Amino acid sequence: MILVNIESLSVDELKGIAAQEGIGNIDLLSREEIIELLREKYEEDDDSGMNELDPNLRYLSGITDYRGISDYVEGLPGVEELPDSYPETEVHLLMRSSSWVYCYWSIAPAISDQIAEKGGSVALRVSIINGGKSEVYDVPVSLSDSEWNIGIPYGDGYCSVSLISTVEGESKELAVSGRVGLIYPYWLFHKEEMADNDSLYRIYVSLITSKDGSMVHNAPVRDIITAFREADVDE
Amino acid sequence: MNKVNLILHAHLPYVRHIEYPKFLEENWLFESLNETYIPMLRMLDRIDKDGVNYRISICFSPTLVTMLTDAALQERFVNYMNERIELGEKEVERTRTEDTECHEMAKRYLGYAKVNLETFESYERNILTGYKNLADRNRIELLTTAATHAYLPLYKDYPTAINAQVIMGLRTHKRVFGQSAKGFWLPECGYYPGLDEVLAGNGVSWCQLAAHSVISARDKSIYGGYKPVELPSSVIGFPRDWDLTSLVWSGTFGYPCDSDYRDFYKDIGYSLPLEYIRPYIHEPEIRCFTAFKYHAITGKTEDKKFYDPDKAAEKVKLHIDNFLYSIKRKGIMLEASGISDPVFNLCFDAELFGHRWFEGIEFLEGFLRGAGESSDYELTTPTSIILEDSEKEKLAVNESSWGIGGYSDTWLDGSNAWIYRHIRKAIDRMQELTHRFPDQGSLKGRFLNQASRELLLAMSSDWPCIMHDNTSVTYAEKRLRNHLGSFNVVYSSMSRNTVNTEWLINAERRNVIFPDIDYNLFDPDKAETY
Repeated sequence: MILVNIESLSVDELKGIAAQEGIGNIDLLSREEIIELLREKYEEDDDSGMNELDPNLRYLSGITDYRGISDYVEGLPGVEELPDSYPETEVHLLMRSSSWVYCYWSIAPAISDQIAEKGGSVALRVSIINGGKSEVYDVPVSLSDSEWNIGIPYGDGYCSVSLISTVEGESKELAVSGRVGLIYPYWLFHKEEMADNDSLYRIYVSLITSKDGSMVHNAPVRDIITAFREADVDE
Repeated sequence: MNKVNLILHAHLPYVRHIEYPKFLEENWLFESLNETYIPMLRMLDRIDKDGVNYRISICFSPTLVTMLTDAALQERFVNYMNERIELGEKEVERTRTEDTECHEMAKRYLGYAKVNLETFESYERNILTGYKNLADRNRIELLTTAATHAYLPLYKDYPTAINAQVIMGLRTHKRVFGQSAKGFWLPECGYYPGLDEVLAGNGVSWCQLAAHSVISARDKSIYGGYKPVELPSSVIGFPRDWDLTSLVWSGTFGYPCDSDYRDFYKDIGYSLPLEYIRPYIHEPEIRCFTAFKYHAITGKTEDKKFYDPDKAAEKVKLHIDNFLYSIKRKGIMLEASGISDPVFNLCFDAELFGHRWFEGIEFLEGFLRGAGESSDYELTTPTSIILEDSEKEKLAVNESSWGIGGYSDTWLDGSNAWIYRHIRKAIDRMQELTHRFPDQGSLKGRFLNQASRELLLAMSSDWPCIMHDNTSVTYAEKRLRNHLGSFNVVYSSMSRNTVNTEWLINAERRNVIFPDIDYNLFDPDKAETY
């Protein structure tokens, strides 16, 4: 597994992941130190090229990247400010990648105040249905939180999240997200066929490998290629 | 025979600020017109007249065609070009006595500016007419994309919004080009299972796919992306060849990185004294590109050598030969592996050619001539391949894109995740408005139509992309807040059962796009199709 754009996660999210990974003394560590430790933990491959200009990307940035004129647009016509959140209780899930989903939510002020007054707590109940099996676990969040990234596996199934409040020992489902389908790469679930498909492997590789030997940046691709190599295909 | 699908995607976000005498971000359009869209049209026209047997596909996004057919922006482009011509004449004079190594290029730039303006005027300022003529002569397959180039996977749980993006893309194409598009460029190659059903429901025959979608598909592919893919809805997917496209596209080893090619960044707008260059940069004294660049890439150094067009032309020939050879060699390898008549899908942003890669148009011309005259290649288009009814394979493909990591990380990260809370809430509210105020006419209908326009513009993938890349972030944020704020003006006014007419008229003047939009598109109970 790789950590994609880990720099973009908040300190709270980083601490949450670090705790899940068994990293101790999190509160004593700086944001950069947590990122470094997580990278080591996930053995992110420095040669993966994730930090290079991705040749897949559109050239829009090429059109705009020389500007650096932020002050100039300050004078654009103003519009009403957007609220920090909306006064409804809801939870949403968006797929970021094959290994992460992004969850955001809001809690109506009246409900939020009630939970706070009674010393209650809030959690995200993550449900992952994968290949007919169900995995459910809670991620404790604070009333001031409103977003979280959740790890997901490959598989044939989906992930959903419920927003749960617990007040005076009683849990209540406040909102449920829609489902996000898991990524199901055929080859990662049929590794036994790999050894008999040398020729097919070469064809696959020829589409996604550039002349300098680098491959398209994608976690399932990397895992599939690794599995093919482990199956000892003739390259 | 190697079948080559060259698919170019021309897109720019909708930028129109006629409330200002000049607006810097409008230069995105003017630079692309001057350096890509006009010279490319001239080149395609030229090789057609020369009888070159070529076919390519070009997507003009709805936002781009709207700007290209906007009289106010056309007028501003003429002003922009007249400034280039005036600067060119000054540069030809200046380089007679100073920076004399630049004199030849100064003359060329002046010539390009004059001929580009002539071409522009010869099409009565609407160059899309020229591209349509080539489509009528069966040289080009024209296709469309989502209305505002929204990255669709992040809106998949809002079928009305997806449908509105697809329908308004197709409708704008039909209005501008007079014919329905068969192909639909998935913005950022963003696909999710089920999107093809929406496309099929609206009469779309094909779309492109990210390269990695085949090896990581839900089914076992036996053609590895070298034959078209039949998606569950029967829409045909054309997977991008990452290997071949990276020969051009790679920022580290792609052809455009050659040290003899012209440098993109070193421009006299940044280097000449202010008193000289002031009339040609942005007011009051904001330096910007002028299109006059005299240096070669050289290498990772500030000390750039002067650009030598003859040397660059030699490199173009070498790169064309190398590109043709790479395709042919790959075809031989695939033939040996049991795949005959492979289909190579070469998808690029159009603005790479000419604008970013100065020699790119010359490269394209040489490539089309070379492939068109050789029996080793068949330049074709996706619709032609579909009509041939040649081999394809049924494949269920996972969600995918051509962004970093192959999914949504580019458009959903720490820099831009906050926008979805607001945009998706606006979609909820737009749906709510269609129920509360169904089938409104007159001012209320216009007010609601304006809300749907603002919502579509907020959904553009360009804003989160710019935030992710940390380039023109302030502008992107302003635009997004402006569209969402405008949407909220309608929502809150309609909630009070009022129409702010002055605001409405100004908003309609500001964003002159999608004249045929109907806000009822966002009604979840009405499954309108194109």
